[in-house]
Amino acid sequence: MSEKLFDQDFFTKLNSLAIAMNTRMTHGIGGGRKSNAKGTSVEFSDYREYIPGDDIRRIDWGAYGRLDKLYIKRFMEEKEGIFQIFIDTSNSMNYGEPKKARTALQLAGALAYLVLNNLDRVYISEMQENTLTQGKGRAGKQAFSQIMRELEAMEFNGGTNLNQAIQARQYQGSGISIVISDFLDENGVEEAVKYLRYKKQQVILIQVLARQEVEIEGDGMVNLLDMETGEEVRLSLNRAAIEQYKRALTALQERLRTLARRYELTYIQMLADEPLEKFLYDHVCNQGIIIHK
Amino acid sequence: MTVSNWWPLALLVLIPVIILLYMLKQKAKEYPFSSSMLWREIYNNIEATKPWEKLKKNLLMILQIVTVLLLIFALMAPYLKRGGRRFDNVILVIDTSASMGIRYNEDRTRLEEAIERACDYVDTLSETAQVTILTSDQEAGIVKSNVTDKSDLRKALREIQGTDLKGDAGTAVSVVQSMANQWEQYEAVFLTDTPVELGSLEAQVINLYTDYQNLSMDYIGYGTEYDEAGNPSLTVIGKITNGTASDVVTDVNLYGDDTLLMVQSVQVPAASSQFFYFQQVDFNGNVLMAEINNKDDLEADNRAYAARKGQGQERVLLVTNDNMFLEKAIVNVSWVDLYKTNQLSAVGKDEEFDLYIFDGMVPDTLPEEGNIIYMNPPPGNGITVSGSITSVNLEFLETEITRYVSGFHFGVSAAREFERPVWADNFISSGSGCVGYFGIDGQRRVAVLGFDLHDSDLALQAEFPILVSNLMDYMMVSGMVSEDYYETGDKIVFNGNLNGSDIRIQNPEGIATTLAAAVETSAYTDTGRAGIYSVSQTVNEVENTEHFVVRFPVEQESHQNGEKTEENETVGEDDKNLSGGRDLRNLIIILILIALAVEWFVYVRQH
Repeated sequence: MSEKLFDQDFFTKLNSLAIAMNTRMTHGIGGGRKSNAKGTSVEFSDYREYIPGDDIRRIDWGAYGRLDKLYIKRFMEEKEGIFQIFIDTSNSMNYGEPKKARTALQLAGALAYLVLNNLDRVYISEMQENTLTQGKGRAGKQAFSQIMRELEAMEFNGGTNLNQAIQARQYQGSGISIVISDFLDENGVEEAVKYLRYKKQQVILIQVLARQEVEIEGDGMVNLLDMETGEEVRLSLNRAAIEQYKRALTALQERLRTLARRYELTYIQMLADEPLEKFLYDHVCNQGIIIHK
Repeated sequence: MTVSNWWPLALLVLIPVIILLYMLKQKAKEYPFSSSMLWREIYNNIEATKPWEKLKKNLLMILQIVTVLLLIFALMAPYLKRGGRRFDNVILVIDTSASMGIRYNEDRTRLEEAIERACDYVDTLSETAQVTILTSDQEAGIVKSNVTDKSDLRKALREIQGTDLKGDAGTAVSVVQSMANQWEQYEAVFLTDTPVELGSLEAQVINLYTDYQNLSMDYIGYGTEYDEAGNPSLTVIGKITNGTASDVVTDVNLYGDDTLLMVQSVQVPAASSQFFYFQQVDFNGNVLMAEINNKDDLEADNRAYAARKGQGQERVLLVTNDNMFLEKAIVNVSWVDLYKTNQLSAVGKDEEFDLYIFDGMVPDTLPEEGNIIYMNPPPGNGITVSGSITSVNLEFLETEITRYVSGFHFGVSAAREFERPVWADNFISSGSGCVGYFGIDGQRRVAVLGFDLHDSDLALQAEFPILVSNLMDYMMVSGMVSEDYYETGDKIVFNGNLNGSDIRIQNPEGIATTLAAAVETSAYTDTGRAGIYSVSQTVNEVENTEHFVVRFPVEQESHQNGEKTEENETVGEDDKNLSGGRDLRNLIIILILIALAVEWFVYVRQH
């Protein structure tokens, strides 16, 4: 994407947002969030008896003096949050005015910015066909410019297979996985969701659709050309057909909503021409993902 | 069923054109879309999978094809034949005789009913049926001949007017017969109220006779009576006939020139006639009318008229010793009663005449009134002889009384020349002087001829009776109508003054007709209406108007017998099935409109 995805005004708005996490980090280097792991932070947790191999620097020598037994001091270790942002870079994302791809990249950028701003770590991955191109984990505000360059360099081509692409991701611990896609994938996304939940991920599905996909315009016989597969569907684009399409789209969204309820996911719809900051305020904040500082 | 045109079948070529247009129209546009996933999901629903769904998909095209087919069918003018027969030649005979004015029902007369039925019948005929409309009263008249335009036919039918004429279908039957002879098949329909003797003619007779109640005023007449003081008064006599089965009492109103003069109650026994009298009627006008006050089913025969005669025959006294030529020529003038004498002393004694002709003699004292013609007069009584001539050729000059003879030359052996008075015009010239003159001397018309007929060859010429007729016309303003009463349909010859203007006749409806004054062409035939007619002519700037009566044919038309039904006839209400079949075009046009409405509905639904 060669266009300028973000401007200064947008960054200013993003600075007033933070990401709230409702799960604790168990892996990764120290960060700004509470973790289930006991570690080296200043917040005391409890004691346990020393066993060989423990770091002798953690022995509570005062307790040894009083009780004549070696105890290890345990502290609540603070960990950084791990965010995975999966961007569907199939060709179907090139559809619409503005293109869904642009909106998806802006959204990913905004979320990444918020993550970095909150001293968390973010991985941005591209999903194309059944492969996953995993980006490097980035942390620290200074990493954002790098992320921006990566986002802008993303190419949208080929088809989609969200299940296989997402399952290609290896996880070390829990975290938040955000999948940005139009979810126009015949195989669905259930397998991927199961995998993510198994990997202790809090999953957020953001479905980006172009307005032209929701409000169909056109008349007469059309040769519907699938942008991903090149497949043609010849049909009469009349009112009845449009009505049926809308019902099919609603059914797809309902399936995703059901999936969200079943696996405790967050499912958000977004229109490509929707103002991004408004979307972030209205939808993501309300879903408890982002809170106002 | 049959059709009138086959050429619209050529328009079937439009069907493939429509299909082709749809195929071209259905060439799909490229429509790039993010994913065909959802479309493929619904593909089975939206695409044709079942035969009726295929139809649904192309419903608009099918509707258009159906519309075009219906249109072609309509243009072919399909026609449902009656009983498997179809008539290309149809003759409608409408009886317009007086009895057709009898009320058929509360709303219509028989004639109106006949016209309505004829209109309905015309509507059921095929588009190509050639229709001839005849009227039949005592003659047959052609209203329309071989017309296919139904609106034209309907208009013509509605313009048919009833008459007060006697009915005689015989002429119409022979006209229809002669027309039918030229066709292989035809349909002739008589709409009448009397039986029709068809002879060998095949025709349908729709008899519209229905029972009716009618009183008729058959006629009135009058006589003049004088009382002891010598004052005249009129006695009016009239006759009423009661055609109903019960006694009727009715008031009879007597009008004189549209003013009610007297009223009398008259009782008329059932199915019989009754005379009535009005006595001592003080009326000095022109037209008497008696009217029945009761309303009945035939209005036209409720009035009768009598015209008071202003002038009758003109009386001419010929005073001569012997002039056979002149006598014969005068007798030929029909409106003249000729009296003859050779005694000058008889003139002006007992009787008065309209015209005196003195042949070769002049009385000492002229009668007080009456016009005069002097033939070869000796001097005296204002006649000044200027000289005598012999063996001379005389010429009629162009004047009022030498019409058709001016410029004619004739020879005389002896003649007198006159000094022409200032009031007179010269009409016979000897070349050097005036041998004959005419003019109005005060109140009297005078003509003078200065030779003895026996001394000339004029009496042997064809111009002589013409001259005499001209002289009679000039000398007397004659009566134009010779009869007091006529019957409807009569031909009337008026005795117009040849020197007068054209004759103007006004019928009871106020319609004026003009006839040339020449005797032979003055036959007036437009006497289809009963009532009072007036005839007028201007002679010498004096307008002479007379009235005459045309009577309603009461005997033939007012009181019919109800025995009508013959084998091929249907009477009145029984017949409602006069039909030439059924033209399907209107039905098809309605179907086309429905198809278009459905097409519009489908189009709106689909888009």
